Amino acid sequence: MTEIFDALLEPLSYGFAQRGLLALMLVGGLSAVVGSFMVARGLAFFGHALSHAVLPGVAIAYTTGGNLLLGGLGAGILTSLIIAIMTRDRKVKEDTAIGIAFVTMFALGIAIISTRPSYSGDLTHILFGSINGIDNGDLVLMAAMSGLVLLLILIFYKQLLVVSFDPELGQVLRFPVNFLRALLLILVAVTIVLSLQAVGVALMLALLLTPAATARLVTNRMSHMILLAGLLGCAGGVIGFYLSWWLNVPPGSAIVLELSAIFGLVYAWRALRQLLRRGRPGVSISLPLRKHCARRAWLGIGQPMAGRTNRPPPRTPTISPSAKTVAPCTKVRATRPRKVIPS
Amino acid sequence: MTIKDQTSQVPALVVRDLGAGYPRAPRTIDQLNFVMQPGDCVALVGPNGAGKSTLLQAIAGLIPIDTGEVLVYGIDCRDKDVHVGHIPQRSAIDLNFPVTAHDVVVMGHARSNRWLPWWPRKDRERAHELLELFQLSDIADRAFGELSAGQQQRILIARALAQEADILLLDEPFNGVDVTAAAEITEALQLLREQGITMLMATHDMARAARDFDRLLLVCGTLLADGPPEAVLRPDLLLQAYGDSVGGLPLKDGMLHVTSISEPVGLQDD
Repeated sequence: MTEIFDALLEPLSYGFAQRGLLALMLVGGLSAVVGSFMVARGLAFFGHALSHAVLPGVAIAYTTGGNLLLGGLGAGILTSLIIAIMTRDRKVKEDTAIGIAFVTMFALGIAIISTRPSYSGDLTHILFGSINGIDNGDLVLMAAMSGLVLLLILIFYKQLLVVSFDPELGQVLRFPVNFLRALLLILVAVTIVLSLQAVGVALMLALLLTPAATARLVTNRMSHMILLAGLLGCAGGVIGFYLSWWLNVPPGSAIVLELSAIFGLVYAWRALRQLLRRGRPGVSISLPLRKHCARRAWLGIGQPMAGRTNRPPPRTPTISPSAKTVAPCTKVRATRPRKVIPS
Repeated sequence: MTIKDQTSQVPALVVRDLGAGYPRAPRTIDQLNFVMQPGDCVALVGPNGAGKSTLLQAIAGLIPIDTGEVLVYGIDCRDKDVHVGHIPQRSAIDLNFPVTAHDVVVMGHARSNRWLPWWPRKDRERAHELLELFQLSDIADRAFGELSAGQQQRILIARALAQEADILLLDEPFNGVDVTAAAEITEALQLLREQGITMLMATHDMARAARDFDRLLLVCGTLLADGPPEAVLRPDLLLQAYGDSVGGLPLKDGMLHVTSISEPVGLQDD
């Protein structure tokens, strides 16, 4: 037991490792929360594009010593605008516009970075992150910005939920639909830029999508999905950090592989559960009924109700003797008690 | 309190010289005029591309109005105080979105407390009451996308009621539903009618419109006819709306059996 504690505490004796762990927890949780909206709305490709499209802004800020966050945000917003303009012509579909815009921006970013003498090292840092280079200032900025993003999501949660599910309802309820769409994209862009240093551009998408997709497998409610994804993302950051430390692999790849493994396990568990529920093809046995059967069998009461299912018995059509046709059900409205809308 | 409570003497809906269409596209409807009184239930019929959905979206404030005006209880339909319940075609909604039936209904309350990240108990209880009203309580916690078409439509109707809408606009609620689902939706609409809710429903099914509604609007870019089914579903008017592809034949009971040469547009099933 002591050895386990030692193995867990050993990395934390280094300042850079403590900062790295905190950074991974922050960006893991934040990305998963923001990514939940992307998964729910089916914007995975847009997330992929945006994570690459911030590169020129980051590269300009990197080469000129400017603010990485502002640079990345500017590039992200510019890309969103380009996509919006391109899709005004109905002959250019949205995914095509996204593909063209993000590859162009990514190429521009590489071109800008290539002007620096330390091209290879800089590009590696931006593509795959450099968790060890995070200082206290970065961490404070990361925490402050994460707090701001989460606060905005909390404040606008209901409106984002409505607009994401049914934009027309948002319009009917007089919500600022275009502002909310733009807000979500800006929050995604901020999250991506904040996470760049920890995991890099190339692997960023996994932090946005995988925990949210895992949470989606086990819940049908957006609020639960966001909470679960946030916890998974946070935990993913911690587990990925230790895997990276122990296996001596980059933290970005450790987190992505571990999050994908969790997704795979949950997916397999869900598929197995569905298979068990289904029983033999065409017969569905509910969980309470299976438990009841098992309890009766264990207590020795009668025979287990094998073959009984929760499927109702087949209905026999009512045959009208004179007409020899199926009699239509016309009594439903008349026999059902009338209800009054409660005020 | 909605504007309906304050101004019960004025018409529920006034559409005057309305011209509207989708942005960057030719105008779909033009010079459209009609009036609905509180409690009126009206069916909107017409061929594809006639502007039925456009009209509903213009009333709901979803698309800009080019000419004319739409007044809901005397107030411009784009005003923030106007509560319009728009029930879109199911195809317009993402069925894979992670929401339960209860979540969808409670969304109707989002306007009153939009800045709260949670739903107040009052709103949740009201949503449960509405689900019970439409006999959907047992599926309240099930994913919206997994439900039958009829259940989904009834949930969307319940959501519109949660909005405390002054007027309900239904866009092809019977599209792509089977007989059972159609019966469920009909029953839900009957319930709305009994409650005196003002309702305008776009439909392709002229037989159903003639059977279930006392007043029909036949549109084809503009309003061709407005009145009881016998007066609207006349062969000359239908020919004007649908062209040569439709013929109308009067039946013994005064109803019209509408048949199409190219495809069926409605069936007389009474």
